[in-house]
Amino acid sequence: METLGSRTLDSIKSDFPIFRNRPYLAYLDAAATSQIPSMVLESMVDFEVNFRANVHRGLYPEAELATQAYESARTQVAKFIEAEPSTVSFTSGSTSSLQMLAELLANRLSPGDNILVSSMEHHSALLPFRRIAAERGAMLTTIPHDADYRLDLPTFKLMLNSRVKIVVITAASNVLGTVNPITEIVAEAHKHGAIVIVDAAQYVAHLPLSVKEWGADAVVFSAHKMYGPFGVGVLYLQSSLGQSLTPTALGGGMMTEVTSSITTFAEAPWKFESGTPNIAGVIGLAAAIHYLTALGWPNIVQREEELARLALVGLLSLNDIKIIGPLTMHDRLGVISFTVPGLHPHDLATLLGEQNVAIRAGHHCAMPLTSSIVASGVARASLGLYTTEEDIARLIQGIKAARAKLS
Amino acid sequence: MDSIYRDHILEHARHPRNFGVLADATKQARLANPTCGDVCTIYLKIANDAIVNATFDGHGCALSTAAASLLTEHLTSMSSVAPIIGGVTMPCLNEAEFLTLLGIEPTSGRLDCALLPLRALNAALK
Ligand SMILES: Cc1ncc(COP(=O)(O)O)c(C=O)c1O
Repeated sequence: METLGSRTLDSIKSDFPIFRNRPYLAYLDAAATSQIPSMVLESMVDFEVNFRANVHRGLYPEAELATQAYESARTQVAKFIEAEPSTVSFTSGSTSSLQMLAELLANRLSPGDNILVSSMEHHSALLPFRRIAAERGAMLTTIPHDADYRLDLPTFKLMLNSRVKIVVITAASNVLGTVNPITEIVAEAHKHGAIVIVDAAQYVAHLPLSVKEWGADAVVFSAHKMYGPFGVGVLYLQSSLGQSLTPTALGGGMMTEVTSSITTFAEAPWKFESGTPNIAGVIGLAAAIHYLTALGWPNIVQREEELARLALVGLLSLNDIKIIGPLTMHDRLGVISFTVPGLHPHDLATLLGEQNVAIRAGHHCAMPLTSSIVASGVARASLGLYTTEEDIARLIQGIKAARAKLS
Repeated sequence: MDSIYRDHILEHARHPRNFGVLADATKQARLANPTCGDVCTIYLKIANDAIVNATFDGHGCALSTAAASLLTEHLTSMSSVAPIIGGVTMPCLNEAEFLTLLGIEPTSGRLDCALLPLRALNAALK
């Protein structure tokens, strides 16, 4: 019997209502979004039906409860990433966190400065920084990866100098599955005084995250890729950096005093949260964290590693299939991209979809990376807590069948 | 959900008709679909305001290849004179008609694959 820690896979699957409603679904697209367990949905409905109110401004019991739940979620997120609550702001997702970061940091760039981004960045991490570089007359330079699809650390170290003001690095690639050595990258960048921004969107549901250990200046992630709801993200800003930044998104809830001529901003983290937040979503995020934590990191890591290894071995057993990513499970997630000669990834994904095997095909919002590998993009299977050995067997079988059909 | 990989689509994908450069083409257009790397060039020979020959080349998924094959087959088999627009005989296909010709209903995610050859044809006729 397949297990995750002390739980059977059957019982974990039954936590996710979609598999009750679509029992035939082999969902291998967690890197795009994960499925959501009932207890997360219930936590959000509980708020909506029992104490729905806006946060921070009400003096009646429901508003008090809503504020408590919202701020308690902040504390839980902080604990989950080993940070202080005052360093955790809620946004609408990784994309908006990264966009906000670029805007917050733009005025630190002077002409001739440099932003380093890795070759594996998602468009959400690349494009806002490309824009502020252009606006400020700064450069944006790409840290390459090596033949094993790992970040080229020796080259990265050579690229660092005092003109490098910002380093943008993904903790785990949404295409390659590569997990980057963030602690080492941050330490190197800090020697040169650069601010390090870590995109943990792919990482956060699969490996324990400690901002303390990383030492990063900013970390972002999205709730919907970690068994939580859509429309919520996190922006962690290291304490003194957060205090020093002037908010760019202005509105309600983020200032202490507004007179006819002056605005006094609230402290971090509230000064980065303008307008009414996604309160139900934030409560759902805290529930998702509770769900993950209850399963236990060692159990999750071990289970997902075994499954990813099974998928790698299965894929490699198919003739001349090419894995676009590391071939070993060392510093690697179960996000597995591949190409099949003679089979366009879109044909493969459609044919698998007809068999209820959900994978994704294309450029995965990382076009500088994928189009440098193959113009047609790549097929990607990505695993979650509910993935079973049978799902992987159906993937492998489906690829064989698709190949037979189209050749 | 009906498969878009019907037998005739698979057959045209495996054995595309009219594949290759048309040496005496009088019009041609190349279109690419950057999101999937598909490239399709349509070559037309036009004489007396009518399309007298049509070929295609490029590379793409089975769907766009089969669509280009079926399109060029349709163009080269047209006998009746169609309305003249912009100086040449129009193949008279809008997107809906083209999908009817293909005999499949692609999902929204695959529509661009199926329509790439038709769009290349329209670009060539411009
Ligand atoms: C590595 C990475 N960064 C950022 C994002 C953007 O996340 P969101 O769409 O939730 O804002 C994604 C999601 O696809 C991702 O995989």
